[in-house]
Amino acid sequence: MFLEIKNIQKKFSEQTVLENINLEIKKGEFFSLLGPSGCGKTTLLRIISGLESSDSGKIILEGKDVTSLTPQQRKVGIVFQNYALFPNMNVSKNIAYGLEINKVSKDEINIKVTDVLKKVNLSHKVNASVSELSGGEQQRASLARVIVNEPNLILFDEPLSNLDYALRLEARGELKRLQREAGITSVYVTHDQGEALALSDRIAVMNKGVIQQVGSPEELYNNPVNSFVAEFVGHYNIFSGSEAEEILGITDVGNDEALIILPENLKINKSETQTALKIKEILYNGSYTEFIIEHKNKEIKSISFSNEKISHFNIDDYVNFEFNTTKIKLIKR
Amino acid sequence: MKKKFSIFEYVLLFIVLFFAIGYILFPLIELAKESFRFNLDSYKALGSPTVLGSALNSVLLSVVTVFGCAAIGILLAYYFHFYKIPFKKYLSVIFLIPLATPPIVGVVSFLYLLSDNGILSRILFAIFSKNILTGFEGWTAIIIIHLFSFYPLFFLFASASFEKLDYNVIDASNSLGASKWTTFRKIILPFLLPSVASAGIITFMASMASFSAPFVFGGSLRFLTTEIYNSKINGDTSLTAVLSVFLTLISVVFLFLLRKFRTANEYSLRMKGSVKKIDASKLYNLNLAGKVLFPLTGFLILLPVLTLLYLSLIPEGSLIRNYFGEGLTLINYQNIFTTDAVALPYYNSLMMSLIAVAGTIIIGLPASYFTAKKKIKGGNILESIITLPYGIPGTVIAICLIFSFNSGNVFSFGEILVGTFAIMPLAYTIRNIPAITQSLNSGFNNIDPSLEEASYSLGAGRFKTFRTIILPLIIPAIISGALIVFINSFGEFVSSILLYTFSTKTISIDIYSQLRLYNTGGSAASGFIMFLIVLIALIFSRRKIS
Repeated sequence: MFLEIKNIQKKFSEQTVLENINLEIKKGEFFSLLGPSGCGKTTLLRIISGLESSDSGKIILEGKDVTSLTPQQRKVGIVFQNYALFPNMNVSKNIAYGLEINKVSKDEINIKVTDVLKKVNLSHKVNASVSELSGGEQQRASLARVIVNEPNLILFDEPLSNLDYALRLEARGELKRLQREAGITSVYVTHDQGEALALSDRIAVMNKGVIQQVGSPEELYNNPVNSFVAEFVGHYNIFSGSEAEEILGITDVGNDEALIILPENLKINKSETQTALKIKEILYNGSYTEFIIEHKNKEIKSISFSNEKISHFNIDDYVNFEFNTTKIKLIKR
Repeated sequence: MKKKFSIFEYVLLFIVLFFAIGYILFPLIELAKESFRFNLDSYKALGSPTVLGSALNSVLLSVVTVFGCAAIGILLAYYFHFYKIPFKKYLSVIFLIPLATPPIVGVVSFLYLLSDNGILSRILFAIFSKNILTGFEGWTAIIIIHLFSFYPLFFLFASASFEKLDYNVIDASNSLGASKWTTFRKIILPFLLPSVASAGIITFMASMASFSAPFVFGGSLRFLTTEIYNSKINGDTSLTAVLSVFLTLISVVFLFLLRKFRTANEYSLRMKGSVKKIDASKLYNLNLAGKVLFPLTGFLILLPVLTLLYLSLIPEGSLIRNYFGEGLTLINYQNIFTTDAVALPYYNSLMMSLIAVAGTIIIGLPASYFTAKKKIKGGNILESIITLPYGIPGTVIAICLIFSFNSGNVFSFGEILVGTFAIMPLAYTIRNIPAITQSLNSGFNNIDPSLEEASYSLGAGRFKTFRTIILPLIIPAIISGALIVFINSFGEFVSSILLYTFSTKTISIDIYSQLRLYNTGGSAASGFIMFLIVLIALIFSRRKIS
């Protein structure tokens, strides 16, 4: 195994941030740590990098215990959320920084810097100062500064979260391409489930310092193991036993279980008579339309991908649900 | 990452602690000891009418100064931000001229301008053939000089706040039907309040500590600072000590108020999202009175300095006969650099200021590094001690040093420092440590911690990271801090007058003694040169900062 994280524990003044974390990451894998803010994902990343120390547990990199090594000894690349480009140096100096420390010869530095700038499409900005770069260019420069050193492992700390939506989507594809071409093992921290699903080979979903589930994007989306993963990754509708019986007419949901169904698997039909389900909100999204259905105080989501059928729905319309029972899953609460 | 110290860092920490204990805490303890020397009876003096009277005068003066300066400073800043002002570019520099005027230079120039024998009085006499302008002394003189000296602080603080004001808020208020005055009262003023209150507390402290104007214009009026000076000159050690303790306590209370206030408002001043700056086309137009008033105010602010310039060009001795009609000459300037006795103060002031600059950097840089960057345990205590001199009037700092170093001890390396050259730059260093650490702290706080982490992760060690990343980023803060220290030290008068001897005279002291000798031309020339040097340093420091 390329990177092993064993029994990592971390407390910040009595508050447990990481609870017995165990993970194994394969060589060349793109692995994401996904969770809401405060779930401990960035702390775990910093422990892997050596910028933070754990209270107990081990980090094993390529079979070597690196737990007590400093960041400069571990030589893993980090791409920071705010890019952390050195403002007192221009683009090429920033990129050459790590090479100079490793005493690479001047000629070789020049070749490598030129090469990597071409890869990230920044050749025209060689001598630009950092402040002249746009957000996307800064992000690419910070990536170039890391990959030029050919590290075995790159850690990404929400590197796209400071970009606006359209640019984020573009940078996402770019990043995936660069990572695949370079074949560098990557650990990627994000709170954006869409980003994690799109980029990752595997994902660990975290909440409150505990790993909830590890798996491929499809596994997490289609077979969440608990309600947290169901809601965070798939935006599932989650019903308790009594709710399932009352709303969907399904019995035999255990007390420690919940019934889940994806919004796109829950269709609505207009009802001529009054029902317990009423349309509260209609959110048109172009390729799909989301309906918020109200049942007492519970909100239930339904998504329709067809454009024709939605036009006759109005707010406050009464509806009935239609669903295929094979799409229903039972999970632990 | 483990935060272990290297040997070099331990040495630096030792130097900082040695300074904090030896030159800030120890002198204060010596002062307290001195005040108790004749048991508590010394403190009975606090109940005497003269002491109570001087305390009352000091407080009264400070209150008037604060409110007067606030009104002038805020109004000017408001008009500057929201109105089209003729000659705005030049006026914005001219309005800050008092900052470039060392206290004694300001006092001397006002004396030559407005006193019974001053230029303006004489011009008016020449026109109207009778004395119109009389009585520029006592309260009138001191308050006018205080207003002149301290309003720029409010102007700067309020202007800085206006820069952060989101113009969308003004638009919102206007669109909801508020008048200009309502918007000012309900929106702008509350927004300014935190920074204006800070300026108010700082001005109050500065005014309590003010010495030059009360000293020269006070006459029979008593203020705390001048009382300390007089009791020291009269050899009443016990009263000197008790008054110093009293003044220090008042000032330190205000210093703590200021700190509390600043931390309480730190968050409210932060703005989220994008701030819309005022649009040049939206500036209001001034009416005719305003169009005249602004350049006129600028001219009035320039007048004291112009007076100095004019008088410096008139030969010595001719003043008693006539201010006007004499040929202008550069003889006074020539004298400065040809007469050894006159040149010495220049050498002294320059050397002492440079030593103070070096001293404040040597102490301030590591102090700031440990407290703001490393955030060591007990760092806030160290920072409180290091910035304590900010709240202690210059007069008191000088008295403390006299009590502490009139005999040899560990901190003076066995030497008696009183009467030596060294004690003057030492006093300047102590007085200016807070200024440079403030500049450095904000410099360090502005360095994103992830830059350091990025450097470590790219394989750089601690020293390499400090040298290639942190130091280059902190240098602007060092330079601007150093310039402030230079400006303050070069014109220092308050501590100097208690610490100097004939051979350690500074320019400020020399200007004052020439004034006493009626050497108008000489003191005016020195005053003008000092003004120019400080002005250049000031312009340079503001360039650097922006």
